[in-house]
Amino acid sequence: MKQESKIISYTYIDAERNIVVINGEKVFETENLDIKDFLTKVYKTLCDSYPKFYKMDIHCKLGYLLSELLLESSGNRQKGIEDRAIAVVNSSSSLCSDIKHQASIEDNGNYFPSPANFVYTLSNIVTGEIAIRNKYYGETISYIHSSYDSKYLKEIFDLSMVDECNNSILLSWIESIDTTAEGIMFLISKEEGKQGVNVSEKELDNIWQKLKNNK
Amino acid sequence: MIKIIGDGIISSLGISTEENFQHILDGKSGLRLIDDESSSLDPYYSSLVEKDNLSSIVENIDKYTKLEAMSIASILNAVEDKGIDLGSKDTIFIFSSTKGNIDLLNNNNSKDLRIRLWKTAEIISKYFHNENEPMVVSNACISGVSAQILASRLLKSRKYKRAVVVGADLVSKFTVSGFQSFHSLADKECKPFDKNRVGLNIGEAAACIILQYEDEKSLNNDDIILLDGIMKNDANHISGPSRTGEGSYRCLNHLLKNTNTEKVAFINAHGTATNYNDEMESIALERAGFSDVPVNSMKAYFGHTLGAAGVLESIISARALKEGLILPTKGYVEKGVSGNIRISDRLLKTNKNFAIKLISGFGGCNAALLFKKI
Repeated sequence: MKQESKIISYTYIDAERNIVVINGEKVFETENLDIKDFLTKVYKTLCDSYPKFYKMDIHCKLGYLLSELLLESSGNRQKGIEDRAIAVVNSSSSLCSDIKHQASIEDNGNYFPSPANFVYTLSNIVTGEIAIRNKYYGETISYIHSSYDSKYLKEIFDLSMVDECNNSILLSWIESIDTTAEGIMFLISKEEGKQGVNVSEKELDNIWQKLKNNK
Repeated sequence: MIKIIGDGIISSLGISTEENFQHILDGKSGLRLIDDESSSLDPYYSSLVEKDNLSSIVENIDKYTKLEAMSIASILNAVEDKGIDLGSKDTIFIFSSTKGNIDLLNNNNSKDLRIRLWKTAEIISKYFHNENEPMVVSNACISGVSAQILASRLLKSRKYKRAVVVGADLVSKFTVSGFQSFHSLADKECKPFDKNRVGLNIGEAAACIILQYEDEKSLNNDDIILLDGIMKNDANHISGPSRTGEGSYRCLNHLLKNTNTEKVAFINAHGTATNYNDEMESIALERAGFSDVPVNSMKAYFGHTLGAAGVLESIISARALKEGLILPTKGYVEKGVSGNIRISDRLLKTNKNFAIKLISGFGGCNAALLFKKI
């Protein structure tokens, strides 16, 4: 039997502020690392070995870490949930990798486009990385929106749930550009017996505001 | 029921659905050899749109980028003289693109809002005086199909009465160089599913499909409805399709809840003419039991139009279904995939009522739509 959808767990990373938060509790922080070094530090300190991590761009690293920490903390990685959906939202698409690719082609005299970078010039690749890691065959989708917006997140969550295949979802806001890499990921499920808070615009907003105000 | 009430296509083959469809029936291709250092160091085959051709269609065209002008023109073609009020509150715009205004990007302007897809979508919906916040989906090459699935869900939940779904992408140095670095571009016109296929061509286009919620009893004969849509991931590789066609197979299998293989007139596949893609699709189609259903690809007419492909190819397929036609696969001569499938190689008539659009993209994403003729 299905119940009302509940937020089972969430993770938050602000690489600029060098912090990791799981379900409202700060679980890791460092000081003065740049965003790339910070993400690597989080991976080495808190995650299982997964060499593909090093190939990912900043955007995917951030999304990957959010998903790993989320699924580990919720004890909810696999088992009969291969149709789990993944939806990510951001504002700048894959701009970090876009800029890198652009730099490699701008000058015809210094022309070196790389397929390893080009594949990351799509904002949905992060959903693929998470699906591969967890063998999730559910729908994967990437939305573009101007800012973190709890009303919008609730709306795209509702849209996913219109499809009866989707019993649970990783719903995420991930934004990375220049010196910023910040994201939040929610595990939301309507499977019976799951503990959590009901999904609402207000709840999604409260959680975000607390994270932003937590110095 | 989700009914198609209008559609428009801007491509190298024409600036209306009508022109594009007629050119396909005539066997014409929009692909040609492009020798232009601003988009590529080496010549390449592609199908391009001239912005100048749109100046009589789009008001104040100088205010808009090429991508925006193409998108606006495709919407204007879709509404034509149908009297649809696109400014109304019960109309939502859904924009799908992989890279949007990527031609504006250079090393110094990453702060420019116009390279953000949400901004591009806003500019397009403002042209039509629509005040609703447009929805934007950027889901690699399945973007245009994802957008139609979202539209269908929004309409089914009755949040809006109609959805204007636009898919658009450019051919620019950014994308050409990227596909070249993958060695996936063909050095001639592509040959989908063929034994001698050597890769894909990329093309640019904008396409618009307008979907509206209708009660079943208000539908008329020959109306085309979007009956079902589904997305699945391969969970296999970010840039290579699954060897078992896992995601596409799962999509096709899902659609069989609402039809059966004998009722399906044709499947319009992704058919990019790369070795891996076409092979993968043939396996997925055979696995799902579609060995006897004609399969076509439109890539040798338009090239792979990236985020526009899912909308453009759905429009052409819906039109063919309406007219009782199965379109041929231009470029195809001899079967070169291992899956047991039937490639459509000539124009055929059909009296069947279902058609499927199948598509897949980087990030392991796959999607399929089921269209039905009433």
